[in-house]
Amino acid sequence: MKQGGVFPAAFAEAGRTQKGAALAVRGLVKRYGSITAVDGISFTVRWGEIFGLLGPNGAGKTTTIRMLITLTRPTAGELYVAGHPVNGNPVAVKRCIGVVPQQNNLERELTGRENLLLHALLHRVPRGERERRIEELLAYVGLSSRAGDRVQYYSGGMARRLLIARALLHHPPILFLDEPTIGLDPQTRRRIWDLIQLLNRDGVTVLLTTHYIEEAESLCHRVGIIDRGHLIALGTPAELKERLGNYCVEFLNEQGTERHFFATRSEAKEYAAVSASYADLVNWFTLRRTHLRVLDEYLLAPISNRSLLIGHVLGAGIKGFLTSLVVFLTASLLVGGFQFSVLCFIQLLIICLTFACLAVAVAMVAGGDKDTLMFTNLIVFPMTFFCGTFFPVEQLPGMLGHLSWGLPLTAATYNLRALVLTGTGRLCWFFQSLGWLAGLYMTAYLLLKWRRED
Amino acid sequence: MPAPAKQTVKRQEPFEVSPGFKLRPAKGTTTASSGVPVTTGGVKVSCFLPPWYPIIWEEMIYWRSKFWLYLATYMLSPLLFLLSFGFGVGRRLQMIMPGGMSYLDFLVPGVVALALFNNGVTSVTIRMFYTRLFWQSFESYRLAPVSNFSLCLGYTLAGAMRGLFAGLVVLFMVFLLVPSLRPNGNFAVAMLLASFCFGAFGVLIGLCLRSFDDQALVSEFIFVPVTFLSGTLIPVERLPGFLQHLVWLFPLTPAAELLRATLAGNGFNGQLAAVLGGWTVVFFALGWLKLKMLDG
Repeated sequence: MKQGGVFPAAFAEAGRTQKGAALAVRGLVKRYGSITAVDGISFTVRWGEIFGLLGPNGAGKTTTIRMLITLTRPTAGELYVAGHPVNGNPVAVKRCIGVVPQQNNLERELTGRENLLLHALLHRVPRGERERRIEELLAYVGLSSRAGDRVQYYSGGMARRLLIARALLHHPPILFLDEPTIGLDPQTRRRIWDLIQLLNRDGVTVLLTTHYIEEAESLCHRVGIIDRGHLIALGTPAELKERLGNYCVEFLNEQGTERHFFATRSEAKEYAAVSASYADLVNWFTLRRTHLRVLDEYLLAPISNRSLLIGHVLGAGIKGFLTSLVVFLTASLLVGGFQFSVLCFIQLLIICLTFACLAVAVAMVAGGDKDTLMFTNLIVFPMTFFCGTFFPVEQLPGMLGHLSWGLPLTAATYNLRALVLTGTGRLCWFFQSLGWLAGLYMTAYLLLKWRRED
Repeated sequence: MPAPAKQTVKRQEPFEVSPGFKLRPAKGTTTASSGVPVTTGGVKVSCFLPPWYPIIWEEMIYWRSKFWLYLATYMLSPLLFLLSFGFGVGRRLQMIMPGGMSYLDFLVPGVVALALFNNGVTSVTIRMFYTRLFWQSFESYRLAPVSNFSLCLGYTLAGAMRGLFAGLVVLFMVFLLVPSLRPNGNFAVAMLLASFCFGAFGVLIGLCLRSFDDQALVSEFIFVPVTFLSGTLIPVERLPGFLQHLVWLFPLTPAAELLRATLAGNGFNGQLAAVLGGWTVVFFALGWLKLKMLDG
């Protein structure tokens, strides 16, 4: 592959000729309360190299990167990015860096192209350059044909490529990649590696974190190994291998995975063959469950739809019930003269369960944050005012008084009021509210079923 | 230095791109993208768009895709207030009005103030809440070479715009129901001031939220009391004693009173405007500080 990729040659030269180190980290410490995430790390990254931070999950790699990219404040230590102190001049630092985060943080409701345009605007890419750079980068990461689609419909690999394109849009001399290939299939992973190497040849300095040894080995010029907040080794992959051994045999047995290091391949093979014939060589495999997919976990669980629904409805309903008990208690202290009976609490519970069902139904339909506000405005608000809560529905103008009886809360409110004030309710109101509960429960059930089978 | 794996970079699916692809810098521009002159030599590049513009731009994209839905949601709740309080029980509420004012005249500016408040505050709060804690796309804003002040201003303006738009929709609807109203320049200024204040309030709350539970807490302890007690639906003079003074701690109270005074043609009340302006400064400064202190 010949020279010349996303970056203009002149720019690459500018990057190489800059004095000092691309990144300098001295005595970096980060504490969260009593937990020390990063404990006195020091290293420098030269211009034009690919530097890897290797370590297991929770070793402090991401925290280190987040401090370098100005998002997290270090407890102690000095940080310089392209000669700019991170604490002193964060805006100058931000101008020199591109960041590919571990988690997809694109705006899901925007298209790929709109996401890039937003980034171009935020990073003040000159007007005449914007369109050209966006189209070129889209082509570069192979997303031209899908650029008009919303990001929420992208696959993991496509989102990662768009994240890389976005990070390059303002032509940063230094690129940070936090676990760039996590959760990607082997083929896409190699494509991302190719892309990173290509960028590096064009003069971009790269700092990446990974917990794949082979990624660090094949991609990085130098590697720092981080464990529990300490930098325990630093050097070229060859040097590190010399120190640890070239080959690693992993066994998956009853006790878990065991690792043994060897200098040569034959030694490793011999050991593997002799020591455990039943053992299987395993690959490191990570399954990330992001917090975004917690509901999916529920939906995937081997629980029947009915149990799932009852669980959610009871959870929310009881919470609402307790809240309304507090309201009743406060009100009876202020006003007095309430007649509490078992029936009145049953009616209250029915109301709470009805709304829990409604909430589940809404949650099954709602797509995102924009919908939340909409549902509040379209469902909760009318219900608050038109169900005889603040004033009798007969006071409403015209047909609205009759129409309000078509809302789930009205009959229940009237019955509860009658029960609390006079001690006797009306059977027809009670059955109406019960009917609403049943109807909304069925609706929620059908929606849940639909969502689960979808 | 070890050769970083001499792979031949041959792109195939899904990177369908021509191998001869190459970028060239446009003539007369430097490659750095910031609005400041770049040190690597070349022509000074400047960008005339304000740094907070992208935040508004993004908001406009959402408007464009969901315009009619937004319009419907803006119209619904004020319509409910007007129908239920204004035309429903309103005729009976005449007796609680101080100084023989018509309840509808009292209610209309209150409903406008509520529209400004509800939409301005919640839109920006919810957007920040989700982008910060859920999608984490707020980080991409924080990574932009933009000062915290500009970020804060951008979000505030986005909220203010949303509130203002809702307020205008309400005003238009009110015109259809109560044609006798006479909005004026002072009223417009009051609306602008109030919407900016609520935008800043929304930013502050959005930055303070830590979880879903916080969101419920805020809506119970801040939004609901502020909505009902701030002289929007019921005159402050008719609240129980201590509350009459307490509600002046809510930003919505001076906003509603200012809107009411200007709509009635009583001129621009400097004292009310100063209280509202004071709140704006406090909210904005706290939001700015909070953004600056954001860590993690």
